[in-house]
Amino acid sequence: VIRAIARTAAIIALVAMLVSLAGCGGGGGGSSTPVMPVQNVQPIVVDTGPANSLNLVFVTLTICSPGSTSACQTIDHVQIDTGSSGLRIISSVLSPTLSLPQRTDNAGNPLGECVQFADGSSWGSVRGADVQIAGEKASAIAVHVIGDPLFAPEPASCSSSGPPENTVPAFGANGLLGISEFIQDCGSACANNAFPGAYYICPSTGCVPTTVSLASQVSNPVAMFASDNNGAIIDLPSVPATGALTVNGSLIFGIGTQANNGLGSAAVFALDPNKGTLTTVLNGVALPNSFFDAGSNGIFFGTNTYPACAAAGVGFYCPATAQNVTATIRGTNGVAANITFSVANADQLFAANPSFVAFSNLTGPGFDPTALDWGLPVFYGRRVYTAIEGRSTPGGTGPFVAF
Amino acid sequence: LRLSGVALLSVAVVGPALAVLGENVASVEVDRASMRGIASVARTDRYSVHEMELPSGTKVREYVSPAGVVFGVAWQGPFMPDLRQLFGTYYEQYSTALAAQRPHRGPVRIEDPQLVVHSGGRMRSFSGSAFLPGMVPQNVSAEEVR
Repeated sequence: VIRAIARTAAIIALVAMLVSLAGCGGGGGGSSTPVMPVQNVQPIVVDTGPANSLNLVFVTLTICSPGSTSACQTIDHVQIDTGSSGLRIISSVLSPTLSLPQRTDNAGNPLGECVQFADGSSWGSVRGADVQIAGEKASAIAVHVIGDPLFAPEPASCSSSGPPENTVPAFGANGLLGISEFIQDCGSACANNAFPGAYYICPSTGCVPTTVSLASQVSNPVAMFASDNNGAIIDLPSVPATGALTVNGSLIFGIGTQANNGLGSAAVFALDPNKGTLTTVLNGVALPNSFFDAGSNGIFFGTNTYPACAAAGVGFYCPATAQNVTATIRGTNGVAANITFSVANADQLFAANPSFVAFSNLTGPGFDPTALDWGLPVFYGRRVYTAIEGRSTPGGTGPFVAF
Repeated sequence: LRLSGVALLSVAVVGPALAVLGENVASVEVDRASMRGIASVARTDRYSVHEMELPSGTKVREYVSPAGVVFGVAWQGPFMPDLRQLFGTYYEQYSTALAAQRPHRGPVRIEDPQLVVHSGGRMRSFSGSAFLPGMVPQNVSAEEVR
């Protein structure tokens, strides 16, 4: 039922797009055809996804063999992440008939990639694909095919940063659309040095880390679009304090490039250009390694004020009653703003509505006394802009977040 | 016995510096060599902190008790460190505990009686810590492992 809702939303958007296209074509008469803006809005949904997830936001996209208009596949429930860059697809959801060419290094060796997450690692091949979302297209970009049975098995130096997440149940989604403020997933570090936990070649003697030029790295598809390529907006409605079964919103491409993606009154918070971080001040303490991450399912920070949950809400906070917290975020440009959020009792939330998966008041213990992880709850009820490094917008050059 | 004691001594050293969680400081060179780190040591009257910066830019700190046992490790930087190396025999316990929490999309939080791990971050900015509750010296707070 929940997936049907996602499909319905996609169909509604498609119909809307067709109607708008028809509107553009009509009335043209003999005059020159006006240049139509690219359709830059794609529906997104928070639902249970393919692996019983909680507070994860998903999108449907289409990938094609580079240059082909027929060798294509539409993939639903690709998780949207602003804490990483690059498109990653779990190989098991790919049709065997969809041929994506293996990318190689300059010597012709097939390229593999290990991507590290805090809780595990994902391993697979680097392949070329056209990526289409709404009316936007990134042509012949490098994507990561996770768990690729045609590639070498995961080397120990990849899985040693955390256990493998190479299947849909372990990964929690059919793929990951990384649209952080970075253009490449690794960046100059991997162009200059061969590190374990990044790019590999796998000769018969075993997989070894290798360097990969910026242009050949797995890259943020938004940055590779032909238009609207300076950033994206995640636009999600507010969620009631009791949570929601499903939440529908929009992923809007470009910042200030069309009538529907202007910054308006949004404040711009510049990010550390190397780490993508900004400062949060909580209870008078500055946390300089804080970050916005739509791929985190709660707001995570350290405190002794709230007890950890003991039941279904393990990993989250469980105060006796919901508490409001106000923190200040401060960009590296000095722009500051308060954010007030609610710390609810996760055990009680889950028990009251076991089928709900979207919560704006889900918070939990942190992992670093210098960081606050602004996860998906802070995105509800906001239009959150993520501007890509080095790209100009009406609000200045990225990287920044704005809302 | 105050936290300010941490700043007592910080010197660059050459040679053995780091060890594996739960093991003796004598095994130290293995870690530093395998991760090709550059090491330094800071000593307090309660423990010593062996710090190295990996080629990837990630910094790893290991906390060694006066008895010479590594009771905690912490890391921060653009890449995750080799946790299998850092955790040693505790890595399997870590993996098993993590698998029980999946699918997971928040910070890692393992709080077993023998092993506590907090880990999180995002691409290009990871940090975390781990300690062995049974091996933290009595006059040391586990929160000092960071």
